Amino acid sequence: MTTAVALGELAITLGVTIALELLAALFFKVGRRGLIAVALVSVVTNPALNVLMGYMSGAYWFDHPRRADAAIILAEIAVVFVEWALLVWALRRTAGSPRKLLVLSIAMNLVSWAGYYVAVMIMTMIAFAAFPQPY
Amino acid sequence: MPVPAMRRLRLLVLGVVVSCLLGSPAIAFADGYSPAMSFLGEDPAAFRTVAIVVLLVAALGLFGLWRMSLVSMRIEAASHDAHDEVGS
Repeated sequence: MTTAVALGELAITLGVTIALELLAALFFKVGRRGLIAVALVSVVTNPALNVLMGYMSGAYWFDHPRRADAAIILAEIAVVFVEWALLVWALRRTAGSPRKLLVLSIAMNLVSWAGYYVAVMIMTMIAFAAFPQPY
Repeated sequence: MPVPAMRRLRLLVLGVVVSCLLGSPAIAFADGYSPAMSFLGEDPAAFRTVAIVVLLVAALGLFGLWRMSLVSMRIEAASHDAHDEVGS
């Protein structure tokens, strides 16, 4: 994979994640500043998480799908708390209590995680339709 | 929330974050690392370029959040002042 392709993939993933997380944030009524903070928080954490996941993928991805899930879940838990801390730092109490921002962080990550699985499912279906298996 | 409880909460959150960030690669690398299958693992120069771009983007995001935190502090201070004026 070339650098340009890798950066392109990271940019697409970031764009989709920001869209999904903003969608989740709309339900929390955090205002315009809150939505900007949600997008900026994704800019900080999402590419870094994807590079970490990509770097680790050589170790587990094909042989240990369950272990891959465990590694992703642990990293996502860390991201939930890091994003919460960043939201509280940036917004203080102007968009709601820290508890509300924790729930928002959990919701954002659940939505983007679900979005990732739906995207993988659709891509797998397209791949199977395009290249039918010989059995 | 009282200050010691807040400090305990912060330590707990930091502990969870550090454990998860260390645990995730520990699980992934339990059987050893095979860079041939990894994302840019065969090309350290490309990986370095991607990592630098990602760090720059993250720094830009942090800069934006820092600016937002300054504005939030100003908004909070203004609302406290308004509250004090109503109180007096």
